[in-house]
Amino acid sequence: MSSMTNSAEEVMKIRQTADRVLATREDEIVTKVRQAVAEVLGREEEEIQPSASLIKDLNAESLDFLDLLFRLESAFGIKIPRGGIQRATQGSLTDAEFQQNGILTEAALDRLRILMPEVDPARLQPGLTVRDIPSLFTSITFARLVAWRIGEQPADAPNAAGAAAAENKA
Amino acid sequence: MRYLLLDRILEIEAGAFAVGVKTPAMSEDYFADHFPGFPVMPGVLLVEAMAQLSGRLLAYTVLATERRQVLPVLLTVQNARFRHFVRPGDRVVLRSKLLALNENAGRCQVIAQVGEQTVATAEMMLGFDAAGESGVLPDAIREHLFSWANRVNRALLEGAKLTPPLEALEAAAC
Repeated sequence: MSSMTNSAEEVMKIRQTADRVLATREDEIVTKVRQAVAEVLGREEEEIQPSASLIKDLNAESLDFLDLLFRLESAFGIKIPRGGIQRATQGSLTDAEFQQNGILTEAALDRLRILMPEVDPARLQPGLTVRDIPSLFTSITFARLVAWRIGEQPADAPNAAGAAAAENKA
Repeated sequence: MRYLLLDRILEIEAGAFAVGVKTPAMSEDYFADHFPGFPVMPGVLLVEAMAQLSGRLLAYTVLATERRQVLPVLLTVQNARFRHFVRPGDRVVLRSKLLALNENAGRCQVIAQVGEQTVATAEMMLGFDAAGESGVLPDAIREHLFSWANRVNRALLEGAKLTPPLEALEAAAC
């Protein structure tokens, strides 16, 4: 992605892509994501409430997210880009535009508000740090991520480790 | 008992699969206790052999595709099934298939067979410890482990069919 791309336009596009896919497939995507989260965390599906923070409420750790991303890729036949959510979050913003001493800038918070409409705006206030971002993740965050990737996917996209390796090489 | 649970790697195709062999000998320490009078290779050690092979597959794949050296570490094991006993002298052939890969981790499906019989199956995820952000180990330790792994690899991979060939990767690394 070009560094000239306007940050707000960029996130708005991601948001709209996800919204467009969810408009027709929300039930299916949310259900499958919830099942994957439940399997990864060894919980009952009923425990995966839409508002439950995977880290704070369900004790998820980083390896659970790795596991979850692999499962979602295979369940939906999608490829989640390197760095996943964090990368989508920062987009074309430079480190300095994104955070100062670990604290998110207003531009970064604006991006999060657009990208993560499922998060209570009261939690996206100045003072939030980069390290706090994963604690905002809920199953809905991942459903939106999946919807975005489905919307971005070319119709004949291959779905194999080979494709991942080729992408990494590129 | 030493903890290298592969005798040889027969084949690695980067991005696809690896095949390795382990033949537990009656003289392995654990057979004395597992079980007295009825020696059976412990299932957890089969899982470790699977993880070691998968680690080699993933490290080779990352080296081949990204020219990057990573140290794979076992993160998860799923659906491990121990279908039949492995006895001293059984030649266990392990096949690890790459299911998914990203910059931080890889997922493999592994089958262990003695002859035609499948003795164990499992899926596992290994994370990559590398220099920089994703690194957990101190750099000096990681360097030490890399040089150890390279030495072990050379012995394990002798005569193996490697795609792409190791020389091509070493030439590129220079």
